[in-house]
Amino acid sequence: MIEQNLKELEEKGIYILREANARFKNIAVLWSMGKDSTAMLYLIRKAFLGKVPFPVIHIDNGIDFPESYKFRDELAKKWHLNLIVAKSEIKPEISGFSCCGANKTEALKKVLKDHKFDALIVSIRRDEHSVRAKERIFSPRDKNFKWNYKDQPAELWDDYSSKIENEGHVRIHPLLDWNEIDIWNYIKKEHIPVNPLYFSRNGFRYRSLGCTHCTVPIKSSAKTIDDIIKELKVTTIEERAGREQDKEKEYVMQKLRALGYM
Amino acid sequence: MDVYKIVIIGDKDAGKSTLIGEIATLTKSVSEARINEAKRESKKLGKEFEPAFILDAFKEEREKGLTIDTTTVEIPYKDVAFQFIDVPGHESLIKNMLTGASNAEMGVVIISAKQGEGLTRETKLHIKLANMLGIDKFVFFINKMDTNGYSKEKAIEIWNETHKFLLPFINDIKYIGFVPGSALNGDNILKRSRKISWYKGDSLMERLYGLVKNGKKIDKNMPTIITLQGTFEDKIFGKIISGDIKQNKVYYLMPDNKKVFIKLYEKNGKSVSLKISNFNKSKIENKLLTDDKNSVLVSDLINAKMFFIRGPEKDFYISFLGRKYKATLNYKGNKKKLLFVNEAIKLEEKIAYQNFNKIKELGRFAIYDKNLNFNGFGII
Repeated sequence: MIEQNLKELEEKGIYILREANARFKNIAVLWSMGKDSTAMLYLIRKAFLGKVPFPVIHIDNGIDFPESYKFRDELAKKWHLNLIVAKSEIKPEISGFSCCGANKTEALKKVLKDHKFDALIVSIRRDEHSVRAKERIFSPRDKNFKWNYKDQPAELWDDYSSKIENEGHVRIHPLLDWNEIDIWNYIKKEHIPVNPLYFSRNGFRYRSLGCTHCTVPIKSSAKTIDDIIKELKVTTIEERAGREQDKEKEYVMQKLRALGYM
Repeated sequence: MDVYKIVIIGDKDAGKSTLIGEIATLTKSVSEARINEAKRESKKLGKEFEPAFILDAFKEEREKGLTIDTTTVEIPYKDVAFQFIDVPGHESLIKNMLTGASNAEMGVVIISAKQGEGLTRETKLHIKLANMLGIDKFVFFINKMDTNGYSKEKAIEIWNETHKFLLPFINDIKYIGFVPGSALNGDNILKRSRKISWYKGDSLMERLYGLVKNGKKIDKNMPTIITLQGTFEDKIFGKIISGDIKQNKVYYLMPDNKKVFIKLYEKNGKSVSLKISNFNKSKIENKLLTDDKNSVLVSDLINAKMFFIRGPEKDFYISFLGRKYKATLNYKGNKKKLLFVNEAIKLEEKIAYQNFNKIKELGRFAIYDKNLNFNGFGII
């Protein structure tokens, strides 16, 4: 895994966030309490002089890990977040594709509509998944949340001038160029708070966090950020191998994203 | 680690995605799971392993065997990393090709040496567009050499034809190199292949490494230019394009040509936030600050070289530094698609700009039609 220049990544991330701020009226941030979206909140604070000036949405299906809820409440207080908890229903018989699709995406649709958000800052990265690797920095969704991946807008240089298609919204991806290892290097360098589930307990840790139903831990003895960085340098396993939705069926990520999933 | 961005261009089916997929597989730069997924899906479609599937992740791309949208793969090599940018070769997907190529520092042009393929019209168009976007270093990879028995004559024929094509704009190009090989068989990709014994030069990766190691350029004594991005509370955000910002210095707000006093509030690399005295905050976007007002030009009438995907129109928009301006073009020539036009355009208001070959960020714009659909780009 390639370690990139953090200063350049940070600079570009700040530029993207400030462009979004100059262009949209009603922006929200999506936060899962995972490492990426937490590092992104930190980056937003850097871009906006120590504040998170946008509402922060947590799509809560009620079955996230207890550690995540605790982490959420503590950080929301510390960073003065304007937190919107959007409850999503969970049906025990549904899992994987339909779970993330039907539940999380529906809850997100509702909260965007209720608050009339026109842009949503999301912490996806290209190296997570080959479908996410095809994304733009500013990526429009129509009012039904559809991602028209077959006809994405042009995005030359750092000119992010996507228009909003028929009452939809635009996804802003400031971390698109970052690698998993860059996130950890950044967390280390900037001392960013991190969800304790990422560190090894009894020989296991979570490398990628979803909800309790579809995330499984990996075998790991990494107890510190340095251990994690060391582990990532040699691993040949995919980051999201512990996420059920990704491996359940072929093209699941493509289908989920086309329907508006994160 | 220094990361260099390289766009792979060429006609459809020349082997762009295959080349990057092969490099990724040979260097083990992508996970086993991703390679296995590509293998599994290749088999399902009744094919042998298609390295291109590592990049072409969409179902439609794999079924049709073409790249729809641009993507990137990072390849560590010695003490650097290459970010290979894959772009579609099809003419109808040119906006996605431009999106990928606009961020590259150099280009690898793939030309197929297979009977009936070669240096095609689309390949020539890609080279022209990449060069217009500012890419001035190209390595030509003569691909599919396995289909002609690694023929020296065939490689030289393509080589000569390419030279002839490049001659008219050779002044805009700083480097060209040629490597014959086969993406599918891995010949001359990482190491020199024994199958092409007549070729004594570097493999593709060795050639690219040599290019980045010799090509570092340093900007010295450039004027300070800061483009302004908008406001936040009582601060103004900006990005340093050249030079560096200093306290207690006189700056000019352009295109207004107005002397202002700035106070640096915060700086993160090239991102800055400022306080500016004596100015109207609501009119700050689209403008820039400079310590040398002669470092930029100011006008609403601009000569530009433009490329129109669906042909030129009289009224359109340009997106300059991320902001849109109405533009008018009086052009009497033919209006066919994929057209290069060298003309003056009239903008709705004055902008501060510079020639592309002096300060590239201030000398380029994207073109949108009346309905705000992307229709090309221009270079000043």
